Amino acid sequence: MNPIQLGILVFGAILVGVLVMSLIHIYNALVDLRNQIDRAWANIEVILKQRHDELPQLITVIQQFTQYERATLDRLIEARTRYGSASSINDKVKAASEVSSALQGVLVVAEGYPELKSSDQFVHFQQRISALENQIADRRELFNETVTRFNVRIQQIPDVFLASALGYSKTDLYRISHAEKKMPSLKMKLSA
Amino acid sequence: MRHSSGENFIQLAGFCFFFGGALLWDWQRRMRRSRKIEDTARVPVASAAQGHAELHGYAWPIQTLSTLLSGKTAVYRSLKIEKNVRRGKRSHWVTIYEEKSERPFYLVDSSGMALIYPPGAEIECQCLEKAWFQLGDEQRLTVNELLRTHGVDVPMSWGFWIFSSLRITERWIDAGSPLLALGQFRSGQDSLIPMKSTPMRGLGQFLEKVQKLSRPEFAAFILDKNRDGVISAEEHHDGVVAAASLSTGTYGSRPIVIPKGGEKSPGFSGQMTHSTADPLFISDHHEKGTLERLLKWNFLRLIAGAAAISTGVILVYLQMR
Repeated sequence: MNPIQLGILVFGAILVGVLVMSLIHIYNALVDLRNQIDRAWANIEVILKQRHDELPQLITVIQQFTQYERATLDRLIEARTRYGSASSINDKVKAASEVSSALQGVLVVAEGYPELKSSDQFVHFQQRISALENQIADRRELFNETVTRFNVRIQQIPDVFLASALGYSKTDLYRISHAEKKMPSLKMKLSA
Repeated sequence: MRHSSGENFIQLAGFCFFFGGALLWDWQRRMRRSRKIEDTARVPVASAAQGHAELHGYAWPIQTLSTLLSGKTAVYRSLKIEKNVRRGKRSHWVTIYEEKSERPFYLVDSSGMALIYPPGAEIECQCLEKAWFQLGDEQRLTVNELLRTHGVDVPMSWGFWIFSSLRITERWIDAGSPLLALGQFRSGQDSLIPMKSTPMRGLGQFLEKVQKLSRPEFAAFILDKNRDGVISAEEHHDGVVAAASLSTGTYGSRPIVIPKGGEKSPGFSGQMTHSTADPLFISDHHEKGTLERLLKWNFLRLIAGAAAISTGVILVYLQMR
């Protein structure tokens, strides 16, 4: 064999080897990205669970002062129950948004009860939920950025070929629900 | 002659394999690193959760270091002194002294501060290399003293110091430099370093200046040195380092009076250390600048590496024929 031909053959073989390694690397990176999304969502769920656990105590305090606002409190109780029974990420995102929306409704009601607003217990839970909402907002940003990077990657060449082979599809962002958009900011209300 | 020629072929082939392998390894290392940086979402320091995280901010010292070659104020420094050793016709460089700063430093942004521990981390930062004859008198005295203090045995003759080949390589991260840290973040309010020992003076002013520099009108006027309408990563880096110098009163040789009074500093949020499971990567540019630096000429590394290995194979083939 001609040395030049041998050199070209070896050069080509190295590039093929590099291509195979690159495909392995892309596969690993996509799996890593997918796991980052799961992790980012798990970090949000931790806070949502804390909020979920603290809501009954807030509801009890409010019930002591607002005997005539049953419908508003029932809406929050139902939203909380739906969150507890949700299984997929998308269902939980939807249920969490409903809880936020119902919580806003309850706090609007609380505005009309000065005795409730000045109650130490209510103030304590108000501050606690405010801190949790801040954390949820921060982690929602991280989750959305992670999801965006994943969605962009699986639509770009060459990742798009491997992504479709792995069955990866676009993940939904954790958006603000229509009801949440209508109401004044929950954070503003809780810190008032 | 034939035997000697054959040895040369094999040695040259060995060099080609080694050089080509090193280039390919470097190519894939840079590709993996840049992909990891692109795929990891950036998070403000105060919002970072426990686990793998990418933080962007600015380097702030717990204790400042002075660099030898560039005369700058740094948060991290590594120094390597090499001597050129000759064996017959061949020569190679031997490291006679090496040190790397192990002092932690802060990564600060407007939301919080994180402690960064450099030992074991992969660090991309500025690098300067000088030969012995390029050093100033004070720098030579410092090198002399360093080697003597650390018991490095070098012949103290004028002949050696004039005619020998010494190479000094220094790498450093400026105080106030943009910083990217990618690795395992441990959140928590307990700093392993007492907060009182950290020079917070000037930190609040520095963050205000950085805030102003993020506005397009200020950035264009102050950072764009070559007035080409684009603020490069280097211009951004130099601008914020100058802002840090101004804020701490270390700009140039003229002392600047810093107003007294309490400074509002961001709170402590956590720390990042290197581990084998999650290696720590630190860069003195933010994402865009780091990716530019990592991927510059990277395609050439791939081509050159493949070509070098192919050349090595050809040489072996010719020798065996």
